[in-house]
Amino acid sequence: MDGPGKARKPVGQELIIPALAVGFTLYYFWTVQELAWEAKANGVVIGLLLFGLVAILLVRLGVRVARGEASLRVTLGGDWETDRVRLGLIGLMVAFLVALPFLGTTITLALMLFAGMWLLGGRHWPTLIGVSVITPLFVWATLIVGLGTRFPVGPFEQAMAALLGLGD
Amino acid sequence: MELDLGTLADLFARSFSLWWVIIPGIALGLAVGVLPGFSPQNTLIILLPVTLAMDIEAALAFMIALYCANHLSGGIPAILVNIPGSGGAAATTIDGYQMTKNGQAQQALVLSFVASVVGGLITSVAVLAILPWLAQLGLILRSVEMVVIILFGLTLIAVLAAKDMLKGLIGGAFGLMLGAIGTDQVYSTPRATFGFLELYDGLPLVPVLIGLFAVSECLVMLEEKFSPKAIPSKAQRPQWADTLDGLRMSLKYWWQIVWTGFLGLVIGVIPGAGAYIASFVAYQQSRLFSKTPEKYGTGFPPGVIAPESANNGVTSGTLVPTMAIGIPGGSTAAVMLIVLQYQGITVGPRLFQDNPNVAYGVFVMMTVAYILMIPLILPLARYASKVVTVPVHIIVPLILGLTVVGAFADREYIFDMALALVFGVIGYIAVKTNYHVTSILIGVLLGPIFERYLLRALRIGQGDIMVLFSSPIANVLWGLLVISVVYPLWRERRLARAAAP
Repeated sequence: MDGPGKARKPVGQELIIPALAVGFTLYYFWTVQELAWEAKANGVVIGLLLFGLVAILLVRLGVRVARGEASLRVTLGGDWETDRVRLGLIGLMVAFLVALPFLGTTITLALMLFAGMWLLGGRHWPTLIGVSVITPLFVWATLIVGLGTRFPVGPFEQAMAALLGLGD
Repeated sequence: MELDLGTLADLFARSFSLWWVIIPGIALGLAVGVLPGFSPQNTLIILLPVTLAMDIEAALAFMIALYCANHLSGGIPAILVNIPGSGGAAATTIDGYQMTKNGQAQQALVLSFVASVVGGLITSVAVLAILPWLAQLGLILRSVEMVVIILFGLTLIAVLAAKDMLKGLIGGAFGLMLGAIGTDQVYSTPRATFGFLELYDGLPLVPVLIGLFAVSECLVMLEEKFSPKAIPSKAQRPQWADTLDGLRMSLKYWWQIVWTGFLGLVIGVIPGAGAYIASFVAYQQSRLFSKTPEKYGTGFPPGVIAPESANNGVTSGTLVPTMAIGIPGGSTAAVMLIVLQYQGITVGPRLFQDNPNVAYGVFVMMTVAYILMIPLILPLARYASKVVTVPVHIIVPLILGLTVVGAFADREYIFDMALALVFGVIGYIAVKTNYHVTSILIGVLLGPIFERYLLRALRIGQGDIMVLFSSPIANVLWGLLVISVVYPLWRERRLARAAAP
């Protein structure tokens, strides 16, 4: 047992996934309430099972909190510096998705790679430029031109198509 | 449907003479398989104009080589960076990535390659011998039996959850709920789609796979500083000695390769049952029969062998119902069916009388493809393992960029890229709070298939749940399922009692 002076272990983060699961299950139940039993039987049975499991988890954590062994503080264990970089990276990926339809796959991927490496502390210019130029060109040549996958096109793809006489 | 030795020798000679299409097929399959999102069927569809222009034997050899190599290479990123190239390689991450963390990346790759090649090789040879009987399996095993087979895969959730059963089961149930997204199997009414048309067909597997494994792993890498400093020095200097060590391990566990390969073959024969069912069932069964189940998940070689061998055993199994009864065993087999029909070849029982060279030739080509793969892939282990030495500030943006691009490739929706990001954040939280991401993935992968077969069985039984116990084969499978759940618990309790003072 913990001594009176010992810090309580934060366990609030252990409720994030169950909260997401329960929230989603409630939404699922709401969307299937009017449907025939075949359409919802599987989800309802699993959903009820999930509620039961989460209830047991809540009791387990509640007992620990009541005993003073744990607190409901939320932490994912990372230091602020790493969390800042992580949030920056997620923001960068969101920006990548927003810019993709306008700038096309090749340019957006190049910018994303350069910014990503810079954000993570890469300062060696030849590597930064090499990786962020060669990789998108490889993607363009193999996946867009070679395999014909319909990635969003932008100024680069259109210019290359016009220059090389490639079809749409 | 008899096959004499003279015909067989002739088929082998002709297949080896097609090396000029088999080797490019292998190379393309390896390259495409490493990238999550690039499935063999999509690649074959894109290349359909090329294959339709080839003569039938060359086209089949090319498609089969690509298909087999694709199944093999999905394990490479699973082992090196914890990102399965396909759903069939998801179970490989459990022990494969752990081996990489233990400084045994090269050995893990060799184990994966040998298990894949030998698993694929022996099952394709076996199919040649027992094809007429094996073909019946696809007709005997119906929805009732499939429900139990899928439950075998789902029990892996409980196995993975051994350290914290409650969290593992919550993760698995969450995955199963997510798997219920999309229109229902009977009336096609949308369920929990958040109003997105893109979710009407269900949760797309590739973005989920990429999010839960690739994106979340990138976010974890930042914290763990999984840089060259953190990797054992042995992994930085790939040596042939490590390749030999991997071969030695493969020899030691040869029996694992054999029986899990055959397990994959049997599951592959059942139309609709995919490589991921086979690999999860094989991992679960391998752990069940192991004398040291506690080593699974810690970088244990059989944990790499079982899913990889089964994953490749599926390749020959999938083609059995395609050739013998005309029902494609999977989506890649369906593409092959298109090419055969275009060339005027009708598959089904008559194929063995009308075109035995094609019927048996397919499996001979598969055998030859696996033989030619051996010298091509073993040296790859040495050089591919260098990936783990790439610094974090380069590998993380590269993985993020290429896998999120891969999320687009499967269905060509930007929505899928966003979905990969969402699942990346969910996966990261799950990893950091000890909810096993593989448990969530198993639920997402197997949930919709389970529901489909369960509803089909219930409709056959007019809603009576007892239909699930109405067939002798299903009842035997139920018995085995109960044993496979109860036996590990009994064994652990017995060991705990023995260890107690």
